Amino acid sequence: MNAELFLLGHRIDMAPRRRRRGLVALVYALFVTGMAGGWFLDRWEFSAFGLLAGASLINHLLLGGKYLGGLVKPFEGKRPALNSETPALLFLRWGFAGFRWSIAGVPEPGDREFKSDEREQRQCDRAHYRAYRAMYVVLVLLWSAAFNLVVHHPFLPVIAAGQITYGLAVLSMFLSLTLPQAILLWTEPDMELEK
Amino acid sequence: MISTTRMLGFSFARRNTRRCVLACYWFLMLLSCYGFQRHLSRSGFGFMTLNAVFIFIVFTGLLGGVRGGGPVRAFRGVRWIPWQTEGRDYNPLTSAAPQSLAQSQEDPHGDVYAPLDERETRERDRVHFIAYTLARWGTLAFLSVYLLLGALDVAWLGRVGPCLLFLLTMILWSLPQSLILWTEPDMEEAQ
Repeated sequence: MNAELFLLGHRIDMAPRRRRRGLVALVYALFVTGMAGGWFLDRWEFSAFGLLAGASLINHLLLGGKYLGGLVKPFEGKRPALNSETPALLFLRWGFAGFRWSIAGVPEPGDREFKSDEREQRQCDRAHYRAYRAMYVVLVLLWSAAFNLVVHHPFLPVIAAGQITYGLAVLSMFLSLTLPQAILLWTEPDMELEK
Repeated sequence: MISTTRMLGFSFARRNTRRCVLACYWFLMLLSCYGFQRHLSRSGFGFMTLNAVFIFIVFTGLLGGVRGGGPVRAFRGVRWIPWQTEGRDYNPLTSAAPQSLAQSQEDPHGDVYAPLDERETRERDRVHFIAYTLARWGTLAFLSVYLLLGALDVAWLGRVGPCLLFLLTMILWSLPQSLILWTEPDMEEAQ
């Protein structure tokens, strides 16, 4: 895990755990706000896609895990294979990388930016195990919400049950994209103390 | 990770046996998916349909992992399983875990209650990482199919959506256990 976050050309020290926890809380608070806004805007019809695209952007800029950039190193630990792709994809990827670097001010990645050591790999696996267990619960919740389609709940007169299910599906997709990184950031101890 | 306790008279020490059982399991899952879709198109989304979903979620426990008693040992350790009430007082910390097939056959409880050791815990986490990655790509594939069908005909969305969600649920609940059963080598060879 990286101890510094590059954002708008500035280095932000994220070594203390409380800062990382603050970042995780901020991300999920933003998501909840987005869900509430999406509900009032269009009942999540199109705003759900915006929220999921937002999850991808959050991973790129803040959380990491899936791509270069963000605090958590890429889980696969591989350098992006820029030379082995078709020109069109290469162009898109370079374009996006340029956009990200201009927004975040991230320097050219070195080997340490994406390769995890054995301890980090083990923590990453453990975080995925915990996230997977959480997804079990979310899926059961999803089906339980679908249950309201057939047995109408007296306490849910305003929001239709189908929309609850749809909202839970959006929530589960957002969680599947961000939860392992959030668990890692939340549980990793202060980095100075560890040194 | 594989339990040395016999289940329904089967020993899961051989990889070939495990792969055959797994093939049967997934064949049954595909059949259940077909049945779910058929029931859905005939009767609609009803009380019985949802009951069937929860029954199948419990059915995934046959592989073990999420609970004790299956061929994959319980991921979190287990103190009690419903049909083995004599094991309630078993304490995994004071009782030695069986080290071999012969030893486990002497032990009436087998290794059902024994916690995972460090190597097994690491393997469990690794398998969940792989399963998570596969499930994420699978979900994206399902979503693409769903949107494509919706683009062809809007009526398909209502018909196919619950079936895809059902299949995704079954995959999520069984994928780590299936990966373990498929990839773990013969236990005699490992020893």
